[in-house]
Parts: sequence; structure tokens; C-alpha cells
Amino acid sequence: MSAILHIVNQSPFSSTLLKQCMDRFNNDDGLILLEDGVYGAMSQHPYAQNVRNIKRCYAIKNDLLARGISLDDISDSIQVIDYDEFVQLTIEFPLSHSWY
Amino acid sequence: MMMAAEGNTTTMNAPKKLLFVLRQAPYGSTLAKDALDAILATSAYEQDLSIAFIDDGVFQLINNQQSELIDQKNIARILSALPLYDITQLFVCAASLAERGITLGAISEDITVLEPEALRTLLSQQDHLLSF
Repeated sequence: MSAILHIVNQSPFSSTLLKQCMDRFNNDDGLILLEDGVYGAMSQHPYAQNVRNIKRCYAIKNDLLARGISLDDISDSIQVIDYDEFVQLTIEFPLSHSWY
Repeated sequence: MMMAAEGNTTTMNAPKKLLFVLRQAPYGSTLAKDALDAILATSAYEQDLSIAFIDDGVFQLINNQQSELIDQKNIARILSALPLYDITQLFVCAASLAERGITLGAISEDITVLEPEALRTLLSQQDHLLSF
């Protein structure tokens, strides 16, 4: 089994993408929240509990800051990364899958 | 369409396991048709090709689509021609069907129904995932 890097770019408050992704998530998989997907990093979002259980969850720093989301307001389990680190992760994971 | 990242390293000529993940309804966007074009093109390269219909993608499978009424090519009819291209590994998400109240009787394709755990395994066993 290969680990998949899942990429979500829409808000969980207006789209079911994050839920659909979570439903197909394996234990070793990773999740990257980018663009409006970073609203999924907020501790109040509908699937916050599920995201907290993910060992490797990432959110793009500039996408968070651009939307006025303070790094203090996101779940502790989420690692804040930049786009260079995002590219590095797509190399590190054997598979990646964009949800849109 | 975003291409999946490079998969496990294999020799140049070994067939890759490619899974097309179809998640959109047939006529609301061009994605379903684009996916079929990509699938048929890929079939020429003798890869280990399979297709998974999940979320709204299961709507592509419904029988009796009369797409001529909206001047669109019939997606279900194209799907039914896939065996002619030796594309026979079709999978559908059981949960997505159940959520939408679609019974297997409403689907004409010869297709394998996957429970969530089996679907997760299928996704993780590929060399590339292609998302539409």
C-alpha cells in the first residue's frame, strides 16, 4: 500500500470536498489544505475532529494569512508549511490526489 | 485536470497501475467527457488502467440517459463501449450509490461495487491517480 497525499482546495463550510476526502482516507495518508481549503484548518470547522486525528496534516501559511486566519486559531495537529514544502511533500509521498 | 505525482519507481516499460477517479455528474461540467477522452487516449498505451466512480461520479452510470435532449454526447453510452477498448476494471463506491438511492438495477455496466475499506485499498495500490 502506498501513502497518498490528499490535496483539498475548498472550504468545508461551503463544500463537501473535505468530507468526501476524509471518507477515503487511509491511516498513513497525508492531507494538505490550500487556497480556500485552509478554512478546514480552523478548529471550529465541521470535520475538525477528523482532521485532528490525521498524523500528517498541513496547511499553506500564505493561504491562511491571506484570509486573516491566525496561526493561533488552527488545530495544534496541523503543520503550517509554505509552497516549497508543499512541492517537497508531493515528491515524498508516492501518490497524490487532488480533490476538486 | 491535475496529474498525480510520480509514483513508485518501476522500469521504463512496465505497465503502470493507473486509476481514473471520476467524481462529477455527467453533464454539469465537461469533466466527465474530458475523463472519458483521457481514458480512451490512455488505453492506447497498454497500461494497467482502471476506473472508480465515486461521489457524484456514480450519476454517470445511470441507465436511460437521454442526453440528446440537452445536445450532449451520451456519457453512459460511451461507458458501455469501454470493453471494446479492453477497459474492464470498473469500480463504484457502494456508499456513494446508497447516499443517492441508486440501485444496481439502474446501472447497466458490468462493475465491481466496493465498500469504503476496499475503495481505500484500491486507491493506495496505484502508481498514479488521475482525478476528474
